Amino acid sequence: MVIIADYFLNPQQYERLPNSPHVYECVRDSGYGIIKMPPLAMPKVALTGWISSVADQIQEYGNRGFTVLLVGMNSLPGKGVWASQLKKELSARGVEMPATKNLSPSDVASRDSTKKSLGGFLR
Amino acid sequence: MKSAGGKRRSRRKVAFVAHCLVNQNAKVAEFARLPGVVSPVIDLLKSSGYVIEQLPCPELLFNGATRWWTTKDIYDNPGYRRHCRSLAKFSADVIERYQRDGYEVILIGLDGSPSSGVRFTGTSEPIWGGRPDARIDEYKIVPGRGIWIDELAKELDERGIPFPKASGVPMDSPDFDMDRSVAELASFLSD
Repeated sequence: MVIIADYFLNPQQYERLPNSPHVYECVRDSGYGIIKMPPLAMPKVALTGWISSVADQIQEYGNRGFTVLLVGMNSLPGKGVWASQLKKELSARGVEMPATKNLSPSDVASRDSTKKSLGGFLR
Repeated sequence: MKSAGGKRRSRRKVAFVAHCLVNQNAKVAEFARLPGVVSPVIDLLKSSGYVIEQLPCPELLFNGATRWWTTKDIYDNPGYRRHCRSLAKFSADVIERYQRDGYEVILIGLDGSPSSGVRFTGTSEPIWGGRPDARIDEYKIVPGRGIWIDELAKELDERGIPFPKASGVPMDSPDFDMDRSVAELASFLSD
């Protein structure tokens, strides 16, 4: 499965970035399940529980032999995936961050550019 | 709703969806119907203008990816309810934020699920328990909420937050039909 930034599932919420459906469509069409990270406007009080539950999933799926990947967005704070908080939580458990691909606006501009950027990653 | 320029704007909408509608890997063995995303459902919600928020999967987080089949009867115990309530606390924080920001909030569960059922949940006859020896024809779909949705509703109620308009995609029902379910969901969204 792929852990993705909220932006990729809900691009219409991000006025300064392309309203691009391509990452969602590429992941969907590749047969991967999605674990969506919290939006940037996440209430701080909820963040700890959410990040902890994502770390639980990375740990559990990893232990069971599932492929777990992470796709972030370069132009968003924390790559849109709360990268430092997630890394800190995983580090405390002795678990490595999933294989990660961070995209740029040009990568999500078209279906072709997205497929080119993610094609080799979503193996 | 009108913007400052006088243009009519539709109200913003968010759908809180059962975790497995976006990630079928979370399903218990033999109950996943698609490889990853339940695209007919998620695509319909997206094309209808909904922001998608993925609820946590309490079963995966409690019993892991290799868990046995289970029913509402088995999950209906204080420990599992406490686990669901802890997830409900941060989920309710997010629901509350969207409601406060003026969004129309809906919830799409997983009907037939012992945890995520909204209109229907799952029990068994005879009641399962003990040595694993379950048959699919013993799994019975009955009216009612799953344990997770029940605890989420209680958490919202305690905060004075109305439970969202809700429905469920009956993917845990033996007679599940995707086309029929998507048509039913479309009707629900247009109500």
